[in-house]
Amino acid sequence: MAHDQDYIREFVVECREGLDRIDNVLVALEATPGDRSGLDIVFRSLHTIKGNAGFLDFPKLGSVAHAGESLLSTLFGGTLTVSGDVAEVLLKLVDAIRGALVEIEATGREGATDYKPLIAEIERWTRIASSDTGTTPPVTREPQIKPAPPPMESTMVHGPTSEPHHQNTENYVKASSKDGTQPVLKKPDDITPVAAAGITSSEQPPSNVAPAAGDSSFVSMVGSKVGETEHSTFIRVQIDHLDELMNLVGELVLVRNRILQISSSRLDDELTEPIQRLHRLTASLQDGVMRTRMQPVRNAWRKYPRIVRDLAKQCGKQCEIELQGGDTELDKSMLEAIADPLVHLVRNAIDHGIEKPYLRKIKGKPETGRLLVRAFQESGQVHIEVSDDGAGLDLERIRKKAIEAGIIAAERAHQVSESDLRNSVFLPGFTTADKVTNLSGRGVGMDVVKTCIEQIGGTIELQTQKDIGTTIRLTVPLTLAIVPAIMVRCGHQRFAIPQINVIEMLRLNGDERQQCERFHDSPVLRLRGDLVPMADLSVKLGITSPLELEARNTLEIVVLKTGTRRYALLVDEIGDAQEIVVKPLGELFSGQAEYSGAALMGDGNIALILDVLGIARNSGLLAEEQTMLCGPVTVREDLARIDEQVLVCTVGEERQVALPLCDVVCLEQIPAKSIEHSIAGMAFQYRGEIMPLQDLSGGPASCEIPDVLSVVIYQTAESQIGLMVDQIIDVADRPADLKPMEMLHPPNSRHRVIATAIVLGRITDFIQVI
Amino acid sequence: MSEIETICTFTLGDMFLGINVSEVHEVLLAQAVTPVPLSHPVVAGLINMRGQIVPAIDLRRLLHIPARADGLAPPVNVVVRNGEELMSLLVDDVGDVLSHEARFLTAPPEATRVDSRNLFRGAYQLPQRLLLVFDTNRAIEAIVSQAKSKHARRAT
Repeated sequence: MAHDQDYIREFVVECREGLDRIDNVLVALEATPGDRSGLDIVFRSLHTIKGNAGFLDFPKLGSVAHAGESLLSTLFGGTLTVSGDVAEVLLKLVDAIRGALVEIEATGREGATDYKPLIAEIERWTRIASSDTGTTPPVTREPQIKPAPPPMESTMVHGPTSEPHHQNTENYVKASSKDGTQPVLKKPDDITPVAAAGITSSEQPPSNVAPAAGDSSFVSMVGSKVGETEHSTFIRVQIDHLDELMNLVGELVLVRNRILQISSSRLDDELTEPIQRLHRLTASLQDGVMRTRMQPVRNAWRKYPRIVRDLAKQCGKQCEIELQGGDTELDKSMLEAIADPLVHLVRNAIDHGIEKPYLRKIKGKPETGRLLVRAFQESGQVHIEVSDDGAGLDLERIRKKAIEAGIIAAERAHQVSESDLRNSVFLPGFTTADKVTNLSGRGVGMDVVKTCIEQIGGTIELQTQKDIGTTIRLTVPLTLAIVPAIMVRCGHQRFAIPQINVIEMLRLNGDERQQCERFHDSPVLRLRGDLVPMADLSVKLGITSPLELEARNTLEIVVLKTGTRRYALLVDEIGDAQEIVVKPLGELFSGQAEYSGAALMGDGNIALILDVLGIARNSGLLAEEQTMLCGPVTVREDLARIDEQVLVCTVGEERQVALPLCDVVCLEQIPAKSIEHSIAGMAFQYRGEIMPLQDLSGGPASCEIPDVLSVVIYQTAESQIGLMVDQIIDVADRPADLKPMEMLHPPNSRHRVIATAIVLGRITDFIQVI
Repeated sequence: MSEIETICTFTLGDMFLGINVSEVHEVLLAQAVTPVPLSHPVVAGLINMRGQIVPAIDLRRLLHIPARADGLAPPVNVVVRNGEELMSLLVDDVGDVLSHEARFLTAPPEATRVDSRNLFRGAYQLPQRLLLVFDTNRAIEAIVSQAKSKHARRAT
């Protein structure tokens, strides 16, 4: 009995693979009717299924497969074009077999489903296919209610003999393959001329003529050959065996590392050579075992052409899918983990991304939408992109919806950056609950996709342009087991941070340390104009008590990203990069979100692997998922009262001025020599742009320009401007009794003084930049 | 003749404790323990057992015995199985493997702390001292639930 179950399990797996192949051939056939190259794949797959079904005693399944096989063999012999309708019926057959397999897998027996109507339909087509003139084919859109005529060929032993037969046999002409005329099957409304046998692909009609006029959608496969024969030089191996091997090799690697370390301290020439060999062999072995677990990403893509076809048809859209880089390999467990999220993205792209044909026409795009799924390997990670040339996200609409949903305050809505708006589709609730998904076209379940990807240590990014399309890029590690990581030290302990989460590493000495500062009591890092929230790892882990930033000579900082957010982690020392073998921490630590596992290092010590997302959550860096909408910075959350606050600075000759904080973009320190002059005045190059510079003192530039200038980057109505100040003092509340005064315009300047009041004990000019 | 129980004995402070040998996976001499910051105090950290990462449990914490004095020899690992996983119990020193007739097992003495008492299956009265025998399953359960309770609190 156990044997039977093993056989059945294997049978089901094998059948499914066959069905996937058939799917792809048929979908391709629909797009390029007449291309017969794939037919033998369909035939062989069905034949195998039939044979195995007979062997395991699944008569119903066998008869269905047999009917299909008969149709195929007739198609082989004949020359009729395999067009939409034939493909349709064959796809039905595939679905029927799939259904039967589900039953068999669950119960070990065939279900009660009656396949006779389907078999009858298939047989009807077999007769059409074998008839010598196909000029008056039946128009049967609902074949199920028109049961087929009695079987005429001796091969159809499984025919539904007990069924009543209708009298539309006049539509069929009896087969006579011996006379010279070639049977041709075509739909009445199909104007495609059908060539005789021996047709070559170059003579085929272009695919856009081929689909019948009644068909509102079709799918074609580009760039991925389905006709390729897949020679089987594979054996099936239990995944447990591979896991075990993987573990053993992992341990072997550790032993080797240990030996390498010992031998390096004892200069024994005799030992060096075999140890070097051990080193090499272990590395190859590790590589080899890893590779056995690797699978081409194509395995997850097999179903896509069919999914795209069905879905496009459902939505009344036209869409073709292109699959690139199917050879890219990644670990089996990884592949399984991303399979569902990827399908979701593909479905989303068709459902929401690609517009209906008439809309696309209005927009001046080809009526057939294009979906590109692309995979490639880069720096030890696998990138998978799903792009469509559809409607894209309507950011303005999202902005409105976000305001309505109360996620951003209306008065700050203009500050929310486009990337934050884009990323809002990943927010739970925001996407699913609101109409925004239907209107702007994306999102249901995107938070789930994101969670799935992040769980396996991957990241997800979204790029979109209205009416141009959307691209979603997943980045995942090659394997779950071996991960490139950055080692950091904290106290006496070493920790590993998966490299996939690391954006950059900084070592700040001397004055550079000022890039770290406290903002409303929480440390922040000023990183090229952005404020990035920061955490001290040793404090967060309770290893040491907080050390004042100023008290350290050097600040070593790792800037991390998790999903769409980033934060900075202050560590005691940044070490080297290493490939680590991830080991789970086990039950005792199941609630500990700070770590995703542990790894053994070459010296036998253990390093804990930091969970970048978990640390952020537990240390309140990303207190609310939704704060991400309010900037790359959670700090902006603290700026709720910015309208009432001012930034106080000193300018030339100790004059104190105040700027409305809500318009301050960021604070920069620039070297004096980077200031350049144009006809419009002073400026400096800021992130590739010209940033006009205004000296707030208003007078001629003082002769003693310090080496480093403090510049406030300030947002005006239409652009940004840099304001030179001597020193930034503090943030203060705007006095309640601020009385406007006669406006003063310093000559040749873009600012004016709108009021004067006492702030922080000094007379202060309130400045408005024009 | 009654059944003979074979017990792996060890000491912890002034306590003389034991675990049925069938429940002991192995005994390891002192290993470097890597602490896991923010974990429950009952978890001493992680040890590297020939390439396998195994959590080490501070038995003193579990039994409410004062922490080890400095200068003592590093603790010995008594590794036990927790379902699929292994777990090392840190003890001061291992003693002999002793065999006793199971019928001599008596209830743990009343003097044992109430919350520790159900961690023991019973006691053997040896000529010189009392040997307390762990109920390994219960002890592991207690350890796991303690380790997790901390996390539950932290998460809220």
